[in-house]
Amino acid sequence: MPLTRKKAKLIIWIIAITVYLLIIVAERTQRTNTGYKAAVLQGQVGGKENRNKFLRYQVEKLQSLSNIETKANEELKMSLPKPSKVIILEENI
Amino acid sequence: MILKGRAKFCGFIGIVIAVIIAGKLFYLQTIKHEELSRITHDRVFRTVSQDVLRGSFLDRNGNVLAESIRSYTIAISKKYIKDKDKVFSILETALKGVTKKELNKLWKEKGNFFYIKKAVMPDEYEILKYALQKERITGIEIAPMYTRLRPYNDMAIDLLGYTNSKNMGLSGLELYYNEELVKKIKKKKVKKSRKGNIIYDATADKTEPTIDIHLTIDTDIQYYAEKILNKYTDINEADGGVLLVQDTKTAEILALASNPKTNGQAMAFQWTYEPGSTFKAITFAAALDTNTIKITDSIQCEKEGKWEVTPGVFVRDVHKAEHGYLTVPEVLSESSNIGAGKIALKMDSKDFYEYIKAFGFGIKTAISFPAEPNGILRSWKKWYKIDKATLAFGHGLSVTPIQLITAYTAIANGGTLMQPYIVSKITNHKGRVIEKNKPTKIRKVISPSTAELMKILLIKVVEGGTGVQAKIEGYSTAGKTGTSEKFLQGKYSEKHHTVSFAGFVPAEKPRYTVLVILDNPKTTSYASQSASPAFRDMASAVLNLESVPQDQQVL
Repeated sequence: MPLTRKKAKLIIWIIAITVYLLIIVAERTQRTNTGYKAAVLQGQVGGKENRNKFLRYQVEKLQSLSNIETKANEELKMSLPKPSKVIILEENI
Repeated sequence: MILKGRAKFCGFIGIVIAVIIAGKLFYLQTIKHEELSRITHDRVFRTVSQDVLRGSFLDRNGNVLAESIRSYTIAISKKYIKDKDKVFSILETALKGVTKKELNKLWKEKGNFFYIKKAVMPDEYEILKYALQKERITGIEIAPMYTRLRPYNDMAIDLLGYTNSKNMGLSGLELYYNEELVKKIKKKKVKKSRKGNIIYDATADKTEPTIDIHLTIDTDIQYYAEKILNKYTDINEADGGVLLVQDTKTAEILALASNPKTNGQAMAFQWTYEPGSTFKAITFAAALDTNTIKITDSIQCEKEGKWEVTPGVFVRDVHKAEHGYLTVPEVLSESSNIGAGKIALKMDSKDFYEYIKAFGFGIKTAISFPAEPNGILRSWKKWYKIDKATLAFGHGLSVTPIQLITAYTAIANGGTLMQPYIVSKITNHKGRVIEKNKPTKIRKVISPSTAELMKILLIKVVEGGTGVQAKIEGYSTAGKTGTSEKFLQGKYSEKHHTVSFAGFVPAEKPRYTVLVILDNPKTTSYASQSASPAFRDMASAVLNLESVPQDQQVL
């Protein structure tokens, strides 16, 4: 049975609609996958930021005056000078 | 004919099917609509709490005093554990303080679900997470929580207070600024995958950032304040004490220490006491400002050191006036109660009361801290003669340490009472200032000339009076000692005292006001031997830390 013009048109339409639907499905799938990957990455960023914050906390703890003074006193046998033994130079001198 | 009948039958079947489908659709779309929508919604979306970390507290130099971090609670769900020994080995390696022995004990004693460790820090968590993923371990439950970190341990904990694992402030500044620090934790809707994983959605990610609070505290000064207060509390076997350091020009609180140190209970703001002789500075300032006395006047201070104010009611002096008379500067430097009492009686009661009020006593300072008391100051209308006389040397009223130091700061900076404050600014997550506190003048209490006279008088106290132990080599120092008997069980106890020293340095150009209070010292009842040296040590430390040049020659 020869393919009439009308039938050919119909088939083309069906194929076009199918392709269009497939594109939509693919796009949505891709969007979901990307969203999922983004969420994973976001979690990783959060984790890294949290760890950075903890490292900064540890640095600050080590830099605290109480820690430095304890180390200076105990390990280096240093002590705080009396105010009269300290000469403070004024900025404009 | 047959064909027509078949066609009719097929048509009928078709219509029946169509009606059934339409009926079902109607049922699903209308009657079951809400239920099905909810099921679909629940499958696609998930509601989670916004993960908002509590804002931080920082000192005046940007050092973090308290900040929140996401930590984790690790638990075991027995029925999902396949290889117990392997899991225990991983847990022992990753988590500090967790041993196989302990885990085995818990395994035997506990039910299906039990906690292993709470507040696991990110470093341990990362190791554990990696090991669990690599070995495909099941049965380990990890739940996020919040932990408040304090790099300086319990430094200023009396001021800061504490929080719980749910991000809520429970005391101190954490409680006072709870709403600002944590905001209201909202729920947000997120899309999830079939496995339950959250799918990123930029439009849903609108977490409200929190703010950071910058305090006026200086961690270095605070460190010395706590150390010195503890040292002198121990040396003098005191029940406790308070140490405050204030910037004289701005009235910012640079350090405050409490002993005993209790979470969120800053004694400097919440404790009340009778100030004793440190209050004489207020009496003298009022008397000089109202011209009730002149600096050249002499006061009859009773040779025997005993003054009968009203029949049968005496005021005594520790140091007896050898010749009976003391000059006004001597009354203060020798800390004569009789002299101060007589000066107060010369003043109009209402005037005296108004000056006390103007210096900020009897009213909250509004320092932004929970449960700040007013102190007790009775109306002048209710004063008897003895009340007025004893008020002159700081008995019969109660004050908070912050009130007293702010009054001394007013004397030091020319007679202007400044608003004390503890929060310098509030910044948003980007570091932009959204609120800033500036030095604020409350009122002029005494004239600059009276303030200058008071400065001279207070320098004399340190140069040759009861405050000599407070003298700092190389720096002009002004201040006043205070000793008051404690009011216990309805009467003043001769054995229990509160000793204090309030002063400012360098006296010529004041920069720092310091107040030291020791509660009930056992080794001495004199402020000159206990609070004065504590003041000297604290003021020296501040001058040293801030590199303040000496203003006097060291002999």
